[in-house]
Amino acid sequence: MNELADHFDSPERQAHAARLGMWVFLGSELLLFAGLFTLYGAYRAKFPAEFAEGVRHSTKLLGSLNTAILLVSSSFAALAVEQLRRARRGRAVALLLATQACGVVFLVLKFMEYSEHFALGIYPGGQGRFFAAHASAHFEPFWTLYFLTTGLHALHVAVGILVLAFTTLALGRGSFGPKFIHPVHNATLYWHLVDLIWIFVWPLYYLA
Amino acid sequence: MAPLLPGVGDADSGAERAHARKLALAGLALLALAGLSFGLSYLRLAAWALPIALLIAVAKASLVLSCFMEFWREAVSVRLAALTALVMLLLLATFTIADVATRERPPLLPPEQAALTPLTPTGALPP
Repeated sequence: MNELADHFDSPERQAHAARLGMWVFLGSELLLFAGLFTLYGAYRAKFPAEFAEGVRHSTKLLGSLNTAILLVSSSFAALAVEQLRRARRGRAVALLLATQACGVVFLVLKFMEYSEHFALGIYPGGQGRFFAAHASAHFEPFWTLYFLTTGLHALHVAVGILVLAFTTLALGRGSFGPKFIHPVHNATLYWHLVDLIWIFVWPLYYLA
Repeated sequence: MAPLLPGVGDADSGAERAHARKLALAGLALLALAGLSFGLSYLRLAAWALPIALLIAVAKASLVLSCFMEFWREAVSVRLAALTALVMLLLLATFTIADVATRERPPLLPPEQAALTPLTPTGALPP
């Protein structure tokens, strides 16, 4: 595989362009979630008691397990890049597969979490018997934002798993050598962003 | 010109091992901080609960950014692009939340008029 594209005069410039493009993309992803975090802050300022009650109703144990899983998966992703730099492709592939496995477990736990909420009559958009039983309280903003934010995040986890899977496949076929690792690095950067977002979602919706 | 990626082509295996150890330690520190957040959530911290949890989250995010994403080893142009997004997020969140949190309070009144205008329990001006 020709690693240097025609329109770059050196591998260094190509790698820099790829990383710059990736970080700009990550910045736009951050702004996508910025709207949801801002809405959370605004509604929490308006309905502090309802949000505190919402946090008490959330599945703290499952959310915390998912936090640990994502943190471990991020460590695996960073170690994979490290192994690739040392030309240990086999270990890098194994670590990337472990990262994806963590992502799958995260989604399974998320599914269980949503199932628990649905069983209690808590559905997106303030629908369900939970809201009917608390008609006078303003619980809708918390739960609508909860489903929007965690749902969008779960979608990003799913996309991250796919991106890592394609990258692992290409890596296994020998497409990226130790001097051409920025495609793998960029894929792991996306995964780290997913982790970063969750680091803030967890305390806001599950802890405090 | 910077190398392809920081650390690529390092011949010193000792330095490589040290970097791998640093990543593993960062992972353990992240888990420890998550454990701390989890433990603190069971204490009655009242109004301090959210600021403390967010402070720990910022510490964890800094670890991920610096150790796993190697943010501070990137070129200035890359850092600038990412920091711009962060600044926009902070501006958006700060001013929106400040607006909502202070919307029902009365406008600034002269002291003599404020003394004559009792507020309702919610802080709003009487109708």
